[in-house]
Amino acid sequence: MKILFLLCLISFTRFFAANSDLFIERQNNLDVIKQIIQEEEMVARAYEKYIINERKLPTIASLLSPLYLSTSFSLTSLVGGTSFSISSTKATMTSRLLNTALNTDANFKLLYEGNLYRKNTYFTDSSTISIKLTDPFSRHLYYLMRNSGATSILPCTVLLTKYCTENNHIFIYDNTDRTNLLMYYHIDRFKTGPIIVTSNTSLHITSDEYNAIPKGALLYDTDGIKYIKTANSIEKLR
Amino acid sequence: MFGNIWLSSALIVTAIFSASAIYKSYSDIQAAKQIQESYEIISDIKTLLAKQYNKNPQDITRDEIIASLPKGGNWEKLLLTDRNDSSGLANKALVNEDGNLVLNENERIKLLALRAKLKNITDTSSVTAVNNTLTFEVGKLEKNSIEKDKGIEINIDLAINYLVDKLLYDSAVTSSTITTEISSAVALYLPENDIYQDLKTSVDEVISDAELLSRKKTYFQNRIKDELSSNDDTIKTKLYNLIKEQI
Repeated sequence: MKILFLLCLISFTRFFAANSDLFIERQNNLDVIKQIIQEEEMVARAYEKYIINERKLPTIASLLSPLYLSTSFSLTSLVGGTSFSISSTKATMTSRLLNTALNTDANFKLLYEGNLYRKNTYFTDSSTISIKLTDPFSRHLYYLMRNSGATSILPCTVLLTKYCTENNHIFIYDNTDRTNLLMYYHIDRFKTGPIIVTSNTSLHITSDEYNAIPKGALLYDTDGIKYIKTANSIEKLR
Repeated sequence: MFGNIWLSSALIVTAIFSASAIYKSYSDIQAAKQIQESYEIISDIKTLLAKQYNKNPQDITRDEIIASLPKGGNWEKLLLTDRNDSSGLANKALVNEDGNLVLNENERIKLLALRAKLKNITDTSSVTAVNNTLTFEVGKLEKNSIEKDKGIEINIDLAINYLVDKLLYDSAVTSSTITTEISSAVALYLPENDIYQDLKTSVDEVISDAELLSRKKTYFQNRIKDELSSNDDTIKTKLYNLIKEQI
């Protein structure tokens, strides 16, 4: 009788066994989300470094080298998730939460899409995470590539490109046939100048390329006349 | 003999009754202490995370707390209304998903303990029960204005990235698209709580919440415009040139 009572008591307490599973599972999933964001941040930093060094938009394969992400770098894959890739034409990567079980939880989504753990990336839409370029030169190169629809700035010996590079200088033409050389500058001087511009002053007004020169940059035309870039135009300096 | 049985039964019943009463008062005191301890620790964690991530302490969610807790040990107990083995987040959560403390209005001892703890921190008399549950905010410390400025700058940056993604490389973009996207950027990234200026035109002016929101949006849009026009960055310069008529 006593034994039966004792057995009932034990089985009764077992029925209300420790309920920590939800907490542990939640903590593990949050760790996974932190981990995948961390990996995306590493990819973003390597992406920017690659643009500065190679003057090209990288692929994930080109980043898996000792100079950038290292050959042993691997990305955590989630069940159901799309395989990771970087866009070939712009600084975005696939969202790794999309189509996974974690994506159905509103709070996990909030954490992944939010900026709590992000510095070099940001959420764009449900399938895309964008890379935030911070270095001014990488931003300049990226702008040139996106604006011309190219994925690299090629040497000027390669014809039919609007922008090209030679001897640490960048050359900007008005079109792919290179009808007019609009400007050229040393890569260290892309922000402040001196930037050498065409002496054809009508092109200063009509060409859109000059609108990307930052305010305050010093310009010289091929006749030696000095100009300054203002917020809205190119002004001759007396 | 009959008297003895009666006396001994009475003594036994009294002893059992006293023992259970003593145990009940002991467990009530424990429960009260644990609630106050939990509040203290949760408030400290939230303040720490708020500083680390430049967020308001009351915006730190339960998931963010869980992600920062060490693995192993019994850290889950911090987030529960009691520390019994059978309690877990599913049935005895003290902290809800938003990171606020929730208690059933029938848990009188625990409520008393919590109100006593919050007596000097916040006014709890205005907290009313919704579906038998009372919700208390944790961590009402204000961010100071330096951190709010940082919060605004981060959001200006995000809004600019949004406009760059939508407008800069699309050669077919129209004036009305630009106007629409500027409104979207402001609506999406407005750091409403970080804009600490009262935006009144005079000291005595009284403005409605809707009017304040509208002025905050205008203020934020002007901050974006300033950032774009005064910058020496290629992308921001080009973007400003593109949208200067509309912004």
